[in-house]
Amino acid sequence: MALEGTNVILREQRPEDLQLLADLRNDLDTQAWSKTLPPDYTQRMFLTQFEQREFSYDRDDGRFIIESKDAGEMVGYISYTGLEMRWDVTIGIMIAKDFWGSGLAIDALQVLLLFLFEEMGVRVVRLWTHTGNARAIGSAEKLGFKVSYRQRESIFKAGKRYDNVNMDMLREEYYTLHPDLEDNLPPL
Amino acid sequence: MNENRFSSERLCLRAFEPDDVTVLHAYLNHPSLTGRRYIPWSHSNDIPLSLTQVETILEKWGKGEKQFHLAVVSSGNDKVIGHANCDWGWDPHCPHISLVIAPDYQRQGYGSEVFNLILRYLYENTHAHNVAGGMNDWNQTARAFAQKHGFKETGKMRRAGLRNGEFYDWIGVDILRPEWQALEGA
Repeated sequence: MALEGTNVILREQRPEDLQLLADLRNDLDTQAWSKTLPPDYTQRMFLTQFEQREFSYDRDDGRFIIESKDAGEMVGYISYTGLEMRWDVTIGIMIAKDFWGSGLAIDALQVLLLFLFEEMGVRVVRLWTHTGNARAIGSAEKLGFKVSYRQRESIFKAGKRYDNVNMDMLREEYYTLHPDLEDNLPPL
Repeated sequence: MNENRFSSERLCLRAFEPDDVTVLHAYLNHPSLTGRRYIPWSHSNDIPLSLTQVETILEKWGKGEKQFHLAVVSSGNDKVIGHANCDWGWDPHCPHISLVIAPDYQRQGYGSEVFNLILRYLYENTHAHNVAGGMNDWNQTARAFAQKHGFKETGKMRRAGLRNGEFYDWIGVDILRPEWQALEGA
């Protein structure tokens, strides 16, 4: 079974994706953190990262290319990091600007959330954004995330200070929003 | 003016040395520090630690870049009575700090002296704008301590863990440079 939504597929990274990954990182609008600047990433940098990823059954991250089902086109990147198996995980997403407002990001996030709650059995999913990114906060809230805490004025972007914002969604909140699913993880 | 930025009348902050492993091992395993050891994520916050594991912690602290981990030393008896951490690896504008005082030395004002030294160092000798920290929600002592030093609670990361059969949250706290300056009467 592929990680498949209504209009997207989440698939593994391939060498031919690397230039697009560099392009996403080099667009100040599609990546959130000043930490990742400057926007001079090259395909070769991503190739190095790609080649350093080794086989393991004990990985705490997942990295996926978001591909549109109709055109078979790469539209973005979605990942999870810091997985504590059966407990919590942090997710992140970048979507090419051409596909903003298309609903593909929400679709991809729904696919990843289903995977994390149903297959990885996590109890909490977390994400980071900032108060300058109303679009991201709105999308996360639409999916059921709630703002959990913030670090005030800790983001500097486009000459302005913003709060770093952490959002989270509990397992029971996810299953309440998806009554078609049954939560069979043992209660604590 | 005291030229040593890392000492007060009753204590000093210095780098950890290998010989400190015994005292660190002893107080980290004290039951009252369960769940609030402020050690690297790779090590358990509540399971008893071996001497070898504590050596690993000291090694990690010693190798860390863009961070410091200092021993809190009592001037009276030259004993290590705690540890103070600071990490600015994500952004030097917003370092993250934490502090542990060994149980035998708690509630004697040492923690406040350490916090005053560190905040003064960060705001007078670095370009920090937001100094942040955090604690589990059941740690009322730490919450009151942070509040006393001008930190504001900025929310809680839900379900940080499980303790005695109950979920707990992690409370984020921070203090901005202008807030610290106002408290200092600058």
